[in-house]
Amino acid sequence: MGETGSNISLDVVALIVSVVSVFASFILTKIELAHNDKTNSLNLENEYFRKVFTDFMVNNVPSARSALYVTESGILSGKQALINELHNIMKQSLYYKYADYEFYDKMCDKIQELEDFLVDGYNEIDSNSITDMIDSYIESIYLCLHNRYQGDSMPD
Amino acid sequence: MKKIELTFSNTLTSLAGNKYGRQIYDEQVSGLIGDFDDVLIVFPDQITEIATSFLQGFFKVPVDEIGVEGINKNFRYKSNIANIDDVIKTALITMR
Repeated sequence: MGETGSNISLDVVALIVSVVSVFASFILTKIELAHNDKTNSLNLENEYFRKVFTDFMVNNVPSARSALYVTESGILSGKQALINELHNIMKQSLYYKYADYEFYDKMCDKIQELEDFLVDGYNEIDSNSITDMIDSYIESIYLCLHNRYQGDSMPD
Repeated sequence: MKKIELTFSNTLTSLAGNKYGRQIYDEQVSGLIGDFDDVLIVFPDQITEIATSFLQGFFKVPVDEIGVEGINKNFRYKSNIANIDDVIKTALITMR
């Protein structure tokens, strides 16, 4: 009984270890697959983000901004190119209206704050401050986009 | 065709702001166009710029009633602004 009982105990322990190993392996595989899915999803999301916003941020806005100037009489000239870029990016990023409404809403609010300023608001401030204000609005848009890309919470 | 000629202060040359757009719709358009069928909106010649924020406020009620496609089908515009149709389409499609 002693030796046989000991063999049975070892068999039971071996069985338990085997079952636990299989179970652990199963759980680890599931975790790895979930991690891979999340990584793939993030990569796809980041790829789409770059496709939509890279030209806007790196080329189009700086180029359009450089065309702006304030005349001696305080009129803001050369603004249509920047307004066109703002319209274009709101349309080109419509995917986010459905994929991430909170971000799209916040981004469009910031874009339209700049558009309102270009169309109408600049009349109400000192002409020496107009371009500084425009740069401040652009920075705010960029910060909103940067935070979305980094996955941080969005600024108000 | 229902023709609606908008009026603004003589000194005003540009339109911006969602709330202001909604206000102008309520004051000058609401109640005049009934079923939203075949409408001509006339912006005065003095208006040379319109922001999408104004247009989104202005068209909020019509969009709720007949949708963006309904507006594209039934509304026409007269304005000094050369690309007024494009600006309105941008405002409508990006409306939240």
